[in-house]
Amino acid sequence: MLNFLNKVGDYAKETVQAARYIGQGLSVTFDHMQRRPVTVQYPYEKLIPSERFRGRIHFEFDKCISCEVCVRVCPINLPVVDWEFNKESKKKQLKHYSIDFGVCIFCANCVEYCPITVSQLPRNMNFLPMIAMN
Amino acid sequence: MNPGIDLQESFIETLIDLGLPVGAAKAIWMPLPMTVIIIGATLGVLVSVWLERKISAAVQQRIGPEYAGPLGVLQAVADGLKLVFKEDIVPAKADPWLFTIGPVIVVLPAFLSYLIVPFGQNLLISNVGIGIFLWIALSSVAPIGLLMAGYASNNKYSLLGGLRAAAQSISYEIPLALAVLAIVMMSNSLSTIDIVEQQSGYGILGWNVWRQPIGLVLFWICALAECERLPFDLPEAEEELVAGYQTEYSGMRFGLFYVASYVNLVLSSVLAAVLYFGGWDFPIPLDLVSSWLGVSETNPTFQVVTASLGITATLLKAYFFVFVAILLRWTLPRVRIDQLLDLGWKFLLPVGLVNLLLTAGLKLAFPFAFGG
Repeated sequence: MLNFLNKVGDYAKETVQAARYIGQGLSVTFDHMQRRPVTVQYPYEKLIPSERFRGRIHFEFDKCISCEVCVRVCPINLPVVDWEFNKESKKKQLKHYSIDFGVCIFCANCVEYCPITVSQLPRNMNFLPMIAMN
Repeated sequence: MNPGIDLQESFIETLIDLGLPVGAAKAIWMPLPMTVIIIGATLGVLVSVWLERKISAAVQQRIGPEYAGPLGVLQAVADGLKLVFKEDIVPAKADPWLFTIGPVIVVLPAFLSYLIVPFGQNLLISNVGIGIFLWIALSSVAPIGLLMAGYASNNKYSLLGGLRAAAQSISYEIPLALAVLAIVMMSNSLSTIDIVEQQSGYGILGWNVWRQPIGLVLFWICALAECERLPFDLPEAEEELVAGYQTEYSGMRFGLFYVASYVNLVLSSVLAAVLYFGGWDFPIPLDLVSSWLGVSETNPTFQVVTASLGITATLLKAYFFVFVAILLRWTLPRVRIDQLLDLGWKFLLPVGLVNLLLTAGLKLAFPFAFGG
């Protein structure tokens, strides 16, 4: 008899516990209802990135003058600039440029020091922090 | 207790005064409340679909439907129209007759149960003596339709879904009936009108929630299982069974299942409000209000106000339960089929019996508070 009552007591305890967990869950979902939606309805609304936002680095091949400043300012000399001197036009000709974004820490030093960025209008920046669209 | 407005009586009397025989007058009256209730039930479905989508969106911090009408209120109408115009496919190897009858059998009892939903003293289609029992009986017809649909689709997922629906409905019918029985024991009547009458008089304090808290929880869990709402939506568990018995359905036949599930949800919510939250009873007793204002209870304006307040109160209470159901949907994960049956047979059934016993004991001990 006592054994049975103990079992009933344990079962009741478990039930109360379960009810409390359900109550906790309900309070979480109820609380979420008053929060603002995180949706950005893209074509109508756009996220404005903050001033110091650093996105993916955007590189324009045609504008690069192969000065290798970006390699020097990079903390780990990451950008690979492969160029060849063109004797006729007496200019460096860029053959290949790459940054391994698996290693890049997005410090944006290269963007800051890039002479094209500095000398030209923001629209024509060679390195431009791209706005990540999420 | 003052009876309030009786539309039926006055309507029939007016017709008789116009020179119509009594039978014809009654026959003219009969389709009116039915149409009103069917339209009301359909509107209730549209509203609850919209609420479901909006509240779900809010819980998940989304926006939800927005472009169909202001705040997306017309989204449900748009979806319904789309379903009407979709091609109606009957699978080649399905049994066309059972396949067609299945959804109809699911929808009909849901709408038929509105027969006993009271919105006021005389504001219901018919005050049947067996009232609430009629609802329980009708709601056990639906699983036959589900089983039929599942079996006729000639699809293993459909069949499994149909079988699960039948098992679930049958096993949750019993604790549901026990929860209702405790209420019936207290009000000495199966009629929904009498059940509300017994709760009214003391405003919010007289409602059955205070006397039947266990019963309310029991009723609500079983009602969710009967409606196949989310913690118990095993028959259509999309991760396991594609869509259960609805797998092969498209167009308006699917629409019928969809409508039936929401009609059932609203119906269960209204009945929860009627059984436990005092139906049309206002939180403050209206007799008191009338005496404060110095208005006679038989004043026609006062009666119209009372009736509309009653309807509003019923709907508000019902939609509170709809809201709880939607919130529960996003709170609780789906139970497994064995957990479902365990919960039904090993927990809800004994608790229901104990609740019934307790109610009987309390009724004997305190007849004034528990309806002697």
